[in-house]
Amino acid sequence: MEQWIQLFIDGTTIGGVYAVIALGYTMVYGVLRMINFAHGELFMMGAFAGFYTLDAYQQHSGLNDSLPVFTIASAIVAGMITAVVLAVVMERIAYRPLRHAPRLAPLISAIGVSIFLRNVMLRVTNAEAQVYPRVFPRGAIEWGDVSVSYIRIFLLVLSVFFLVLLWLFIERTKMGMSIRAVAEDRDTAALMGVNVDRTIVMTFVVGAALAGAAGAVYGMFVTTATAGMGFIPGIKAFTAAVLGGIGSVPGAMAGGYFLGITESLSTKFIGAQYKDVVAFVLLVLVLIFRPWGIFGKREDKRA
Amino acid sequence: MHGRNGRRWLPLSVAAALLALFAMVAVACGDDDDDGGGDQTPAATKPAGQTPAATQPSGGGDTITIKKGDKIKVGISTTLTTDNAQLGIPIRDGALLAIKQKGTIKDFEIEGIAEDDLCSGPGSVTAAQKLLSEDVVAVQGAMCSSGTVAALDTYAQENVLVISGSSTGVQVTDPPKANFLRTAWNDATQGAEMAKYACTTLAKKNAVLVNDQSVYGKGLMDVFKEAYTGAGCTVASEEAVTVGEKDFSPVVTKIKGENPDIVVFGGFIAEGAVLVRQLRDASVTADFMGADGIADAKFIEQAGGAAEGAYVSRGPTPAESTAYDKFAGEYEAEYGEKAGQFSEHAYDAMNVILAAIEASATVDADGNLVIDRQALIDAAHDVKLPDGASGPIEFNADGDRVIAAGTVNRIDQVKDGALERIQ
Amino acid sequence: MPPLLSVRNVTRRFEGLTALNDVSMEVEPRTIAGVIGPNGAGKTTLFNVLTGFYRPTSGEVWFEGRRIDRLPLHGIAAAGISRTFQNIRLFANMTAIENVLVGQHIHLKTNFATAIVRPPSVTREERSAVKTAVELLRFAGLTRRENELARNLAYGEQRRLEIARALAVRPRLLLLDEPTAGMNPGEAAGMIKLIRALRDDMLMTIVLIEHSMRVVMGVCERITVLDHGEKISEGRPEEVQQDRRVIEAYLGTGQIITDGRA
Repeated sequence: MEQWIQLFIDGTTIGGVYAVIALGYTMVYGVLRMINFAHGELFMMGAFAGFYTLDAYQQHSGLNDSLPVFTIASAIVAGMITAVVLAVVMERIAYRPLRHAPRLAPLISAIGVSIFLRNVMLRVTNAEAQVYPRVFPRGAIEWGDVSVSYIRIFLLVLSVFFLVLLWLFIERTKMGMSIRAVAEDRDTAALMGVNVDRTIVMTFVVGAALAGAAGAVYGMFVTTATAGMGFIPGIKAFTAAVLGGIGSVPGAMAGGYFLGITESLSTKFIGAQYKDVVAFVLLVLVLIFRPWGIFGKREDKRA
Repeated sequence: MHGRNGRRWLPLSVAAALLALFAMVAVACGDDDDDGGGDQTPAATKPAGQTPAATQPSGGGDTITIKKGDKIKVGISTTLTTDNAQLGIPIRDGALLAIKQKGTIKDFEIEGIAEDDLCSGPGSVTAAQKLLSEDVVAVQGAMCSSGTVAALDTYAQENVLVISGSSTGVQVTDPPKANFLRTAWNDATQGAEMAKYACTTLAKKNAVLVNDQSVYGKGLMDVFKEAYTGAGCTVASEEAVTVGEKDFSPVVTKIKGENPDIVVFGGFIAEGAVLVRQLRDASVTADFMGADGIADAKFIEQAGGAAEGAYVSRGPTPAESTAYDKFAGEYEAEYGEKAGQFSEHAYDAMNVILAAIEASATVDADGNLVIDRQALIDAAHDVKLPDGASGPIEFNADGDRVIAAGTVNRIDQVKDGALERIQ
Repeated sequence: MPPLLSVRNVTRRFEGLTALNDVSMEVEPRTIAGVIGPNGAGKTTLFNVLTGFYRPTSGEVWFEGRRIDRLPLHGIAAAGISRTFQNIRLFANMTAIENVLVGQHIHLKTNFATAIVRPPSVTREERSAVKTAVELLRFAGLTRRENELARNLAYGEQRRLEIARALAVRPRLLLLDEPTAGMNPGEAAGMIKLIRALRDDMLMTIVLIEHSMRVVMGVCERITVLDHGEKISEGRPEEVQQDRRVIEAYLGTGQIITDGRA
């Protein structure tokens, strides 16, 4: 039983990461009807920005505090800024010129950006994994055999915090409303005075900020950064976004947790080697039987 | 106009995205498309009647003519991107060092052409096609067993000599392929030796096996399991990790629940380092054992202290090797970095290729170099390198190395952050 | 008084098809003007040119002394023009009040930073925006429907919500594309009342496209008649009604211009 609880917590942790990344996919899909395949690489770049920040602190002062709050915060902010800058540039260079091109064109452009970023980091790191300095105390909260490390708690709480923040942003702010309006009907939104280009950039910015922050915290959690680390979380988050109904913000959140927990539990009751199979079988089933997503409403699909 | 009609093409765009997605998954980790898990007969026990020549395909391109003044092109298929490039680049550099040292064959310059094989089946097939389009004489590679198994057909169609310095998987030479040899060790040997060491020498009777779902990792763990249980020890459970993932918490949780004496890992550095670190973070105190896929200082570095005490098998190795030390010194002088795991095997593989070219190529009346592909392959089978950097090299009929007398399966242990030979 | 809107020799072609051919028209401030014509006459194309959906192939559009036919879509709203659609195009999954709030966006000063920090000025601004939105909804007869999703509103309500949203832009020129299409006589009468109120109470200039002659003749002061992309007549309703070319154009389609006025 305790093992089940532990697996559930493991799944919730990675699920939160999937959810935060999935938001970027789903929001960009909402406004552009395009899958930004380079999104996983923004996550990766966030992890590297976090790594270099912490590494710089370590070189400089040695990271002696038991819990260097300011250092951790600045690593997360560095992750966000890096991802945001990259996202703005990629939107401008790789996607905007293709906005009226056939749908496959921006998709291929996105794959290109993704390969480009990955290879840049392979070059920079000489293909070697970079090991994060340990900034979190090693301890854990224990309950019988269930053990939740402090960094895991931080990751769990932070992903929920980001999800709530994003929800408030989308529902309560002027910019969030613009994003929803553009997602519903780009031309009409423009006629109502919404600057569509700026709104699309803003969508990329918000998605990238989340991915960058998630990357930095995830890096602290797995204490490693590699050029290839964005790939699997990227496709898993994309899967989560489709599971939840692509284009739907609450769907992406629910899809992320659902996928993370399902994967983790299936390690126990089906076997670790089938974990990814479970994820993709779920995806295929959803696409066949509920293409609007497990959590989407069919009515949302208007003609 | 955009408007509401946008929703109608949701399935199309999702389908397109999925297509791209699956293509990428296939490239990134698509290696386990075989079902040869049960086919673990060590190559050495193959029936003698099945000669490689019997399965030889009738390929096109019987001879290659290299015009006077042109270069002899030799291919290198290895992993230059993805997280496995940290193993692949030193392999490339080991092979290139052999070419550089050789300089010329019969006054023809030699050029090494490296292609990225992504350590995957599809990636290695693509690399094979690119190398063939460059008219290479022979190929060192592919890096990973998954890739070699997949790409050998492509090479066989042109009857191109392929020698791998790093594909250790049992399946690679089972069944044997006429045009393939390897300076890497067959995991049938390594896996069994590891099992013996764990069960008998270390007396760790209860193991959890973790593989990375590659031909190499899964194959090695299958051999290990057979020998380990055969020796009277127990495998508590078999787990798997996904290449490219960094959070193995669920697998770690499961391992913790099994409470094994030893965790044995078949896979490469990136996953191995993360796994051992997360095991230690979760206070799993069982011993950790890996194989040649992680036998590299980078594993220790990336494990961030958690690798201390880990056992690492490195395949059959001479008790002492001045040849290796010489190679290692030359490698470091050339590249300014230490040689990686498999650098020396790739170096040896390339030297076999070069020796075979030297032995079989002829210069015709116009001064062109003529190489008969079959003669090249035959010549390669006959090459013997008693002073190979990875030990004495000689091939058996299957294309595997003959294990020289006096070699043992080398086991290292991580002590004070460095690999130290203990067997 | 100079015209508020001036369409000068606008032609719009689509690959071989001339949807508008050398059309000119002027709209005086605070009038209700109508554009009529049989199906395919080019009425909606004209609206799409006026609102920046299409660029004219040749010709110009001027509004308040400023050329607007090169503006981006969102610049049209800023210039002071707003519209509704023949086939309703609300933000269906947003609430009624959110639809109206989107229309007010160009008049809000919040940016991303202040949206997060939320200084008092932003809170104040948002509160006043909500107040305005509620008033607009009341004006459009949608009291107490503020938090209903647009797609759950009745058909007539959706048409009125579109007008409320268009008004939120604070336009000086309002373009209504078949505002009574698909309405029953009761709903249509309410809409006509609303259109008159827009002009009389809100001092709006209105151009509307209509199929229903009853609406056009009853509410418009000036009428422009299009047929096959060309302007065939313009003037006061009773003048247009007598125009032989207009009668022919409509007879050709089997419709009778005095429909409902006999």
